[in-house]
Amino acid sequence: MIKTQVLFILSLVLVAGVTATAIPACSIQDQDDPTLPSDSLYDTKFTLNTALPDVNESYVIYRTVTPDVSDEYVKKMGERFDTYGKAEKKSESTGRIQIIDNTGEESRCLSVYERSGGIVYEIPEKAFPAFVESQPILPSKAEAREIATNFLKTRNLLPEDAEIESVEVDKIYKEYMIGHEGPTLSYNMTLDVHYSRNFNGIPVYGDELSVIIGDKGEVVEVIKSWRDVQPYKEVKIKTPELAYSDLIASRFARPPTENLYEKVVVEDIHIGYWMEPRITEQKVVLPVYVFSGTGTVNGIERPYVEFVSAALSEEERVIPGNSP
Amino acid sequence: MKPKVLSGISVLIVTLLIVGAIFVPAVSADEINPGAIDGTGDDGGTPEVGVEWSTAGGLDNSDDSAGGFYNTLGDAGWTRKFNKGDANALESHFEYFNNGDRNYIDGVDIAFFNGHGSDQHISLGPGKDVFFSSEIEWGDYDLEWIGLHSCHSTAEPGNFKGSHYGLNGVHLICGFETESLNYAEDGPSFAERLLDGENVPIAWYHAMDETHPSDKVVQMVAEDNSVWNDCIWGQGSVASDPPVDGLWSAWSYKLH
Repeated sequence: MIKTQVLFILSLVLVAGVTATAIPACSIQDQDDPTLPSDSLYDTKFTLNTALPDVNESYVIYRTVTPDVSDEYVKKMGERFDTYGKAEKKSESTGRIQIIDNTGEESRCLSVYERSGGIVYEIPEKAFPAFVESQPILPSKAEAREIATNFLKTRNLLPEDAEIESVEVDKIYKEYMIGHEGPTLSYNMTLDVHYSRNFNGIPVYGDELSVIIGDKGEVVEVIKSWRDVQPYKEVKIKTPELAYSDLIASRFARPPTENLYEKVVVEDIHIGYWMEPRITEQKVVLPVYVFSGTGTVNGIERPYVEFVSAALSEEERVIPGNSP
Repeated sequence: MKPKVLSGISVLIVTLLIVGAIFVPAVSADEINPGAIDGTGDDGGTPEVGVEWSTAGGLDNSDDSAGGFYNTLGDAGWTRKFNKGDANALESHFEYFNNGDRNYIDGVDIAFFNGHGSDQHISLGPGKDVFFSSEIEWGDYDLEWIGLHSCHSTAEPGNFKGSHYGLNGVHLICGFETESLNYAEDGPSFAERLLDGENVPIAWYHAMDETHPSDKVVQMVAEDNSVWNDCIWGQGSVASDPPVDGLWSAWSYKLH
């Protein structure tokens, strides 16, 4: 009997010990910072802090003119960058065809996207170094503009309607140390000369033309996903009110951001044209409403921009007497 | 005497069952995937891939992006270890508590997450947040590389050296400095480039650059720059696990 009692007491001690060990672990596991996101943040809240714009009832839509991206086309494009070799299909999902030229002192790489005709040219060792031991010698912004424009012009890659939108730091290498606020070392490795365009005065969004300039002013990367376009026809568009309701309902012209906005203040609305990424086939370029302002995430205000298609359905957008 | 001894043993057995009932839920409440425990958990052996995702908040492409990453590597011979989304994506899969991450995120060589997030955390769904600075210790068991496809996920590299070190042997944490967009193509494209022998950070940059516009920026974070040239297993060189200390590096790349 005594033995049983001893065993019972030992068992209770064991239960108490294990429980004491297990329960705190569970509660720590489930304990998150209560000041940070939870369910409520999935309800985005919008405030309109600008007047709805006056827009035309109809706008021109454009047809894209996409090149036939054959191996021969890719090779000819490679010649513009002194990049030679076998054109090889690298990705079915993105339609990327690539030439890698390892014959020179440094390798060069050209990718052409068959669905858009978009190109990416790179000197990988210079565009993506593991680190730099000192600050590369980068050109001034004015010099960078000239370098980029000359580089594109001499290769017949500068569209007439291209305008330099910005010159910004492109790639940065940083080192950090515990106890220091911010990086202990930071080197700007490249500059991005970014171009933009408009169709009949209306800005175009989503496509890219950038020249990336590295040490001593060398062009180390070019990204061009501008599709050529031709005016197609004029169509009726949504009202700003309808577009704003689409914004609130998250009906965007592109996939949504992976942000948890607590609130969004819309400060500007205007019409633009939307271009799909270079991996995507796009036959027609449609107008969009561009909503911009400030979004708040975790109490921090960040720039906000979102695009909502201005296009009505095929039936709704037809202007009487203007059928294709 | 004998019956009394048996009675004592019975009490002990009952007690142990009670202990089991209390203790087991603490380690296995998260529907343990048998495949997650078998195989090569720690460094070495067959390379393994795992993904988690959340479609909460309208991110309808997260499953396709993460699933595409998972299956592209799986089709190339990598061991598919876990693919957990929405209700099945759990904080314990990422967090160090009870070594829960060793059966999931830190139990594979490469992992990928797609969903909402911030510079402080990733969100596995409403009320399910994983905080970088205090809840993760990646790489002390297996993980070499992870892609965090969520907004601002690597915007504050210091969060991976918080009260607990997220950079705890993992070679590279690839993410976004700015907001990210929920493109379905990103996961499979990242995997395709890895299988084509691109370095992990450059593959990340290239894959995101194909879809994201010029106001977005990716950032890759590492213990040091020795791992920059890492290719995934079987596609090129892989650096030794970097020593864990109070220093780290980051590369911020603008997209176009």
